[in-house]
Amino acid sequence: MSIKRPLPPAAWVIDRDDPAFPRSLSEDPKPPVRIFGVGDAELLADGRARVGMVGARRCTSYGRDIARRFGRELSAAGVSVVSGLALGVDGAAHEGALQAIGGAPPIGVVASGLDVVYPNAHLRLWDSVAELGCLISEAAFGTIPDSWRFPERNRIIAALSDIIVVVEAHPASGTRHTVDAAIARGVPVMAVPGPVGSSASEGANQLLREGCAPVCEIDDVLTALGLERCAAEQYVDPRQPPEPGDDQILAALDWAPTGLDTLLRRTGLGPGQITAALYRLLAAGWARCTDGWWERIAAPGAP
Amino acid sequence: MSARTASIQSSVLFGIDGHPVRVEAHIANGLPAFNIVGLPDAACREARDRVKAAMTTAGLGFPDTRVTVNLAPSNLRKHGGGLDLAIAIALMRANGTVPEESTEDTAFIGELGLNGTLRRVDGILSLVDALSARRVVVPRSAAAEAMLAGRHEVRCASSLGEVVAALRADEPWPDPPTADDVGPGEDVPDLADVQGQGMGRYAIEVSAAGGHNLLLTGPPGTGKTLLARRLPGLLPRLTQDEALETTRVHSAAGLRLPPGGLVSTPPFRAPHHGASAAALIGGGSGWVRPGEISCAHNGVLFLDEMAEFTPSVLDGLRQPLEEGAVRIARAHGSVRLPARFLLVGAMNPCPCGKGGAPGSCRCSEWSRLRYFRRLSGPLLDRFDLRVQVERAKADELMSAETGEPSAAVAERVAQARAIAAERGIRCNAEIPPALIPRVVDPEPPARALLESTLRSGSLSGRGLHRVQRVARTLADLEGVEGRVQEHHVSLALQLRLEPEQLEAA
Repeated sequence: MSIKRPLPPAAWVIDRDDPAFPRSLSEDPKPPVRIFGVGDAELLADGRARVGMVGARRCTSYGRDIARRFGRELSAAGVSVVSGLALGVDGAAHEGALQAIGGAPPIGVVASGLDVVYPNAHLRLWDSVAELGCLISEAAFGTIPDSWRFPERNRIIAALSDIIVVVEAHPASGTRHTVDAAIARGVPVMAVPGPVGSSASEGANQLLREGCAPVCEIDDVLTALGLERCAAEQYVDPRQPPEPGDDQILAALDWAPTGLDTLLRRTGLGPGQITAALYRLLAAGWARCTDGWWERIAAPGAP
Repeated sequence: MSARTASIQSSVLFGIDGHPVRVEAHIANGLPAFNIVGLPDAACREARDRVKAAMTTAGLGFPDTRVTVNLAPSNLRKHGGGLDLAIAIALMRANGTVPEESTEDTAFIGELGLNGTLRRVDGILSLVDALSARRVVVPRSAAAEAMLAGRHEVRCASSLGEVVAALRADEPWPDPPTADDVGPGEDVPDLADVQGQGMGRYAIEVSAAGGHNLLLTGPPGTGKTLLARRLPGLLPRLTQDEALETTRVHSAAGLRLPPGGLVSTPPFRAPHHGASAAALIGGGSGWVRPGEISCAHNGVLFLDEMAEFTPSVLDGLRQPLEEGAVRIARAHGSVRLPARFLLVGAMNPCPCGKGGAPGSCRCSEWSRLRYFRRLSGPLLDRFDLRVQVERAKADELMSAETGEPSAAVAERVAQARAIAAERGIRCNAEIPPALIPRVVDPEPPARALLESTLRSGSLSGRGLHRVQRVARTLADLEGVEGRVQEHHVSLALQLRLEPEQLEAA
């Protein structure tokens, strides 16, 4: 649910006829009448490349990890990450962008008034994005996040972005709104492939089938933006390799949320053995548990 | 003709307890009238018409003068038709139809039909147990149950005529029904029918062994109900005392008793989620009827679709879960009903019921949260085991292999319970907090795991005791007598999923 809080002192409003109104929005087929914002308004018109990252709220660990990593790497490569600060992929993309040291400032586009934080779990993320980048909304202060405002918000994300990257998305979801808005505006859409059969990746995979370019690393995005490819992050996994017996359990987790029942069947081991191994993997940062569903962690650093 | 009186022993039910009642009849000169005094309720007052009709059709005649019946003590509310027979006998003693010595030290219980048939009433066991008389006369269909009380010479008859004939020594007392007269007992479903469901099977085994309350979550059609129904078959048979106590409740609640009258297998009660507080906890107006929780005494209470129950009704379970009994107070008195049951709940992981795995459905966090919040935190906390059930795979369902039969699992359960009994408790779920450090005593790696889980915030302080008890049960099931090991703790943690993600959202 949302939290109402005092209006940030640095909040500003720009009308459409104001020269400071960002051109990408004033030239939009459906331009906002005015925008409300906190943070650096210059970011909306500074010529820096902007990539919109969108995806499912109910995402898997895979989607969260990828969104966070790409957010971090894009930001480090000097690309502003535009997203909606929703739960799941949106939030993870910005979390990643904020992790990049000296990275490009993030841009958040929200559907409610800037003094109505939604979802409330992202209160701190709102503040960080506003502080290090810019947080904007089409809705007046005090506006509650009605569901119809989200597709409207999505068109602004599409309008501000040079490229839209879809991470994990259910078919016929809010992400699809953003994609449709991007296509209508001629903004290229790219998608991160997901495991076949994963319900959370169905929408992203569908986009690939429809001809969207795949994103397997951020160089794919940078190339599409006409930017120089960045040197691949020199990445050394700091984790201790799993203990000898435990890699079998890790392999059985198979990159999708897995329940104990499935693990019992896949490994043929006893429940005690499996759970003991899982907790060792958890402690070593190889796996995480959400409501009883175990998932592998691709790279450390993700909370 | 002067007034004639007689007094006969009987008893009435309040809650599940019998209370002795003296039925006094007074036949005096005057215009024909028939009054019953001594706080009878509507059903009891209607005894006037039943007794009159029964006596007349049995050819015993009815006094055509002024008749008064008093039910003593006069401040106790008399409920139901169980006093009919005693009223009829008291009248016939007063007018000399039956000889005085024949009813000496004898109590009578039973409801009369208009044609003189004698019918059973609810709570026979408690009613008989409350009597101090040496001999008791009950309806034939209740004879087996009456004998369970054990202290009385039980006589039975199927009609008022038979009772009077026997009292006058015209005929011998009819024989009590033999075991052949009753049908076969009910079959408890076997665990061998359940295919796949590794964790689900394991969870009910642990639940049975340690007496741990169990919450099963999983999409519809995954076999939550199937598993729960097999739980009574894993529990040990009731001891004589437990069986008598459960029988008293079942009898008072008017449930059908098994052949022989004694409920010797753990009962299984599965009320619908529309149940009211009175239906679940017990109560009623005017008198107190045992609720489903008492009917599940010494057995299993299964609440399917738990999130659909009225939240306030569910919260009524909290106190009985702690105390093993419920005290119900009404304007005219309060009753203590036993209610020590194993609670098994089942619910979907989210409103759409698709799966609950991250990314598998599109229920919003808020709707999932609201769904789970229908179970209050304190109630959720009373589930030692919270296990998710996954959909069985097609090849498992089609497999001709049968699972391990209930008998084999029940044997392990019995062994684990025997170990618990050596600690002086009924089952591990009842290990008092003070005893936990000594009884559980985790090995260093197991202790480290508990500590790190506590620190990470995914285990509450309250949950810690419960996890330790479950870990002890797991060790007992494996026959590990000494300290609790790491894999016991890790499994216990996984068998008690904290809905932390939902709390945080």
